Amino acid sequence: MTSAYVAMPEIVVTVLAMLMLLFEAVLREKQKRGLTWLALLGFVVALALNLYQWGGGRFSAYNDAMVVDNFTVFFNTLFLATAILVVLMAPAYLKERALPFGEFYCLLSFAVLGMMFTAASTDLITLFVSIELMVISVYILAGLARREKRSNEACLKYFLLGAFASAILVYGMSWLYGVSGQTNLAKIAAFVQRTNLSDPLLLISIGILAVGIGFKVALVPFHAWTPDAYEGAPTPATAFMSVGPKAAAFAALLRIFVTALGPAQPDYSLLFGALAAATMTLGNLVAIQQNNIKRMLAYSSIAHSGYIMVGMAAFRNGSNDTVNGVTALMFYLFVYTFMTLGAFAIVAYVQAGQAEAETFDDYRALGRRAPLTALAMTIFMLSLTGVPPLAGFMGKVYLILATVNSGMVWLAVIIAVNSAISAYYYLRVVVVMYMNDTTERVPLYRSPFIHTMLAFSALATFFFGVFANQFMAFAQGATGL
Amino acid sequence: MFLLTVTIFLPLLGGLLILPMPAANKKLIRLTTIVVMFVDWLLSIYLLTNFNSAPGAAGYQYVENVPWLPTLGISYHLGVDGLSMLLVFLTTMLSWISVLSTWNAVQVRVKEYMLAFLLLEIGMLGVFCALDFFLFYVFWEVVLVPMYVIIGVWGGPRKIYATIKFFLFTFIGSLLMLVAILAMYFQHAALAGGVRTLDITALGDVKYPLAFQIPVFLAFFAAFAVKVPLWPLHTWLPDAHVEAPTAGSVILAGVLLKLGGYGFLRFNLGLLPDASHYFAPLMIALATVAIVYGALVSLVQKDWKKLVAYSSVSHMGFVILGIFVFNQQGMDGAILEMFNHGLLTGALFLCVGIVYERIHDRELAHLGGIARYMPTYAAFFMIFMLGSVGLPGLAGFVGEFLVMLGTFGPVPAAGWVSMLAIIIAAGYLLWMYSRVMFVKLNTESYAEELTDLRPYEVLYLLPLLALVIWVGVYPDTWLNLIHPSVTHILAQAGATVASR
Repeated sequence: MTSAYVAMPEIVVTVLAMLMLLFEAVLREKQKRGLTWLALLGFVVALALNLYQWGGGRFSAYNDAMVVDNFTVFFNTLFLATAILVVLMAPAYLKERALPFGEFYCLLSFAVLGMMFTAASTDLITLFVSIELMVISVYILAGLARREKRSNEACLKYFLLGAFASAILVYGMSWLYGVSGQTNLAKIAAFVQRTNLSDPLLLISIGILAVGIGFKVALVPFHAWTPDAYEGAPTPATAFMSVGPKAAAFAALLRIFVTALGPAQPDYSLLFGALAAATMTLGNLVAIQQNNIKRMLAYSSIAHSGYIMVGMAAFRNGSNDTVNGVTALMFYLFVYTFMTLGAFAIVAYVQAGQAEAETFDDYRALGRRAPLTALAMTIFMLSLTGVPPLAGFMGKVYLILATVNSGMVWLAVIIAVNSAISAYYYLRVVVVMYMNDTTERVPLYRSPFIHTMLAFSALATFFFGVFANQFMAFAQGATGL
Repeated sequence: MFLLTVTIFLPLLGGLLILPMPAANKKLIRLTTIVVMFVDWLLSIYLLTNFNSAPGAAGYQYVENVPWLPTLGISYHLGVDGLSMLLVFLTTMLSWISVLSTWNAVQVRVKEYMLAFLLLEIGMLGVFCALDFFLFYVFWEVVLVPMYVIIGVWGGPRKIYATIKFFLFTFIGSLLMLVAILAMYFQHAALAGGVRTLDITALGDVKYPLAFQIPVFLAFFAAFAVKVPLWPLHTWLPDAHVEAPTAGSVILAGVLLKLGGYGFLRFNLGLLPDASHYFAPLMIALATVAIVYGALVSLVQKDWKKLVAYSSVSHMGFVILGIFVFNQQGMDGAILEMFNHGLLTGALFLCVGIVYERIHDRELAHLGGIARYMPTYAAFFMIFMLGSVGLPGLAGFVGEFLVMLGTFGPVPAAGWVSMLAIIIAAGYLLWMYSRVMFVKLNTESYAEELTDLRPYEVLYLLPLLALVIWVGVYPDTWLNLIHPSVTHILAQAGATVASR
């Protein structure tokens, strides 16, 4: 098995990114809209190649810098599905705002590439470089609407804090290297296994790495950049930011804290538990007060980082139980992707017809103006709340199961209470769409792409809930790190 | 034969039928929904008549068991015993009745309205038939969403406040229950040698330590007591009832409140017998307070519908009282009282709705003398009102009498206090009747609007009337149905006590 063969999905995405760069330079403005089809084709081919590798065992490539195993395939599926959905939701919005198609797809491809390598990396160096590839592309995506002040602000804030976070992350990695003398994750794990777990040097590196990753996934108290960045960025970019880089950062978290630092798990479980509890509680409480839907979704995304982090707190090293924190985390990421992208796509859809439509008031009577779209939004909101039998509910159930199984019942109760708090603001969207009326008749944008995307996300959110077994098995099969 | 699945999901077929229908064709949409719900009722009558309630017959019948989430040991397990059979019958009956009752009242977004009721029926039937705790929870939450929409979209002026309050109260309780269910999952596995299951029939096989039962009981309490609703968690109920459209109130009072009583019987007593005994004094005290409080507050209501809503708090208190005295009479009475309350309070809400639909006013002070304009209506209303008062020969009497019978032995004090509440009940209900029906109409302009019952209104009141009299005169039909369940639940709750 040659390295190039193993890395085929990544290679396809690289080629796609290059082609986008080329076409962006040579095509005329009108022709560039056709690039949507090219982007779709590229990501679908990469997804197919990636899924083909499922269950094929574990292959290292490029001198053990990256590895392809079920874990990588799982995350690549997630990333490529995200990319496809973002490509489907983008054209309506980009066209309305006269934003460059080619640049958007090109940056998206590079970001996805970085994400894929992040999940596949087995070495601190590869890991860091991949994360940087991803975040630098996303900084630019956030600032793509360069004539809009808000977009500039988003880009700058995201960039400054992101760079800061990267510095902290690389600092933590250097501590880890200093302690263990290794950059390879498996070798670090072997070292940690041998060493004294309460070694202060090891604890310091755990702490610094947790802060670095905490910035990337927007854990409280490292979340301050998120609302402004999410609000200001072009909506499809926001949708992507709230899912893709977050999932990739969780992949990095798992690679570092499970693969490399797994034996030190008793040292950090409580730390992640406390961070998760703070994150979901603060995220939900602040989300209640928002009047801007994009900002509300930003805080909701923070809260969901908290839920997902619970899986990390529930991770128990050496446990072979199928109901474990890592599987729960991955399954939740999986369902989170579809419902969150769906919700942001609705924002993009409403904005495509009505440029500044971001507040709750703009969603008045959407149930009458666009019944199917409103139904889809209802499904996403109920799923984010955790109402059965939708996917978000199954995700929360798995998380609570894993948490109770690991003995942290208090954390399970916090998840439950938070779901109830979140019901308030998610349902407010439903209230506005169905129960408030308006006389305004603003035309809604019609685009087959975004309708396909919405239908797919809504159906996925429903079916991943009702037929959760297959997808739980998918996550379980990918857990072996 | 997947009879239960068919019964539960038949409304889904109705939903699929009306989905493509043009929204303007309201008549066709209404008719289809009602026909589907009516067929579902006939189906439940078939299930009821073929149900074997002989002593020693199998506990759960029409059982279906298909793996659903095998990775977690969760299955799609359905079955009914006498208790759930009775409630399934009540649900299917009240569904078509309530929808028929709003034939004229609801004119906006008829299709969505019908879809909400169909979904609601699926959820309610599922709750009563589920034999897997996880499946139960799923249906339990499915009930919440359509009810939320029904109040929020077709409700009165303060509908949004009422519906959000309703949702949050119920949702917080349910989530705590979810955590408890999942804790039970692992506790059962630990006690039963690693077998992970949420099957209700299996969960009761092991004896949980009291220290585990107590927090789980409290979590279940949070979910079920809100639904019942037990004082002091009842505050959502008057708001929800007042704002809900008539059909919503009927289902809310008739079926949704029973979900709480059902939960207490099936799960608190069935699975947590020690904690149930431990908390019994508290539960009896709360129930007694609810009975008296509900009755006293009903006395001072100015709004007709709110009066009926508060009387629900009082009547449901009897259900909880009967459950937690742990004897045959009390529990028979509690279950029958659930059924009766569904019939009678459902009927009272329908009666309020009939007048409200004509004059759009429920202020007791504005009404009066209606009997002169609507004589047939007055007759129906009187029977339902007297049934609710507890007149011997009508349904309400049997349930309350049995509960009293069960209570006076173990807890005489609770018996005396609740007896007082029955007298107050006679007071507020008779006074309500006289203020609305007799003397003279306080608002002259309403006179023309008050036309007597239309044929379809008689049609949906008649089955309720027949059952009210049937239960009142010959309760044995229904008591025989529930006896095996009562014996089983008491054995679950009692046997463990003996071995403690």
